[in-house]
Amino acid sequence: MHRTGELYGQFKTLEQQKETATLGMWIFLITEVMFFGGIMLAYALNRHVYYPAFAAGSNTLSLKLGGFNTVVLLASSFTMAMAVWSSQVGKKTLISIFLLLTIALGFVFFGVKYVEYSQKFHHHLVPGKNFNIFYCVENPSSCPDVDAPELMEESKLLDEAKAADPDLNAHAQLYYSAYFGMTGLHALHMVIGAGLLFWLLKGSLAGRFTPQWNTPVDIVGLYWHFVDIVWIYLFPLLYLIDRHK
Amino acid sequence: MSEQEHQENSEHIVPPTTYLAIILTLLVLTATTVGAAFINLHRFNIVVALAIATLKATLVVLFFMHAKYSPKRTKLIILAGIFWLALLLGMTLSDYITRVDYRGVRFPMTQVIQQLPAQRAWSARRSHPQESKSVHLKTTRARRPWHANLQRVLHPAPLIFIT
Repeated sequence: MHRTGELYGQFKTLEQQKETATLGMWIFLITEVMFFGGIMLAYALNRHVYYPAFAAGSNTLSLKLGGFNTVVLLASSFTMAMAVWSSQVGKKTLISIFLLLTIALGFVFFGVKYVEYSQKFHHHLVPGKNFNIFYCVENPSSCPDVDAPELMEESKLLDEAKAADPDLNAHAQLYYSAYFGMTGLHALHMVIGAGLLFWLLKGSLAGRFTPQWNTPVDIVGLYWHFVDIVWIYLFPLLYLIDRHK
Repeated sequence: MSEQEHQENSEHIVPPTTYLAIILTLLVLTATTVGAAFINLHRFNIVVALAIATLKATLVVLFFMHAKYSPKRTKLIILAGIFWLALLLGMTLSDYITRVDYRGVRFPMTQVIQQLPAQRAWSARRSHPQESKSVHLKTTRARRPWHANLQRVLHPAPLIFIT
């Protein structure tokens, strides 16, 4: 980390230096867009070919948990934007408070993700040898977190899907591979983002960020908002395929 | 913060009220997208969902990421990135949508793999050996007109997302 507000030789002004850093971050974010774009393209093609299996898989996800996580992530983006604002106007304690809030919301997201993933493991919904999309319908006693009316609904939807696609169990694994792949990569980005936020917090507690020099806050902010955008797309693509029954 | 410091730093500062308005809009749009998913719009469900997601992403990019207040150079880079993504997605999808494989099967491949006549005869002999001993492999094929493949390729391509 270079010293507060130091002007490097190749730049004329601090403003130009910051603009260059921001531009570089945007170019990095575009490479990230390409990365997630390719994965979403693969998802789109598979979804097109195996629509009944993807719709059935989507309906086994918990909309409550997914929706809650969306709200949490949007809120964390807001607190991050506020942290950037506090650094721009020079409110040093506010930066730390907003960074802490952002980190806290990030960890709430991880907590919900942990609950969601562990449910999928218990419900035999992880692609592999033991994958069985009918597991909860066949063994209701092993799925205490799914209540009876939900189970009835799920059973009906799975029967319909089975009629449309005789190889439902195999193709639902494709959906769950996409689900774990995409949400897993998103979570990995969140972990990196949380690490960067801790690093920012260290800097802000030392009082390093001033209205003249707050480039790291701005750039980590860009990264955090990008991760938010990825989730904005993942939420409807994974959770809301076929809710209208 | 002194007046002089403020003048040194000419970057645009987005006020918290704007951020508050944006986050509230984003939450309302999230509720809208969940609500819209429960209405049966047939093939347009995914169109609506992606339109709302894109609107939300645009708000985040413009205000939270300050793209609206960025220099033109940064804006150009962002637009070039979106254009490049559209190009890659569009080219790949147009390839898949118009693809016809060697069996004449259009994308999407159906779950029932279509068999060639020779394969069909072979599997018929395997499953009913006593009946189909007399099945001879020579099948007569009608000659396809010269524009048959062209018609398949130029068939109005469905939007890949609309399933």
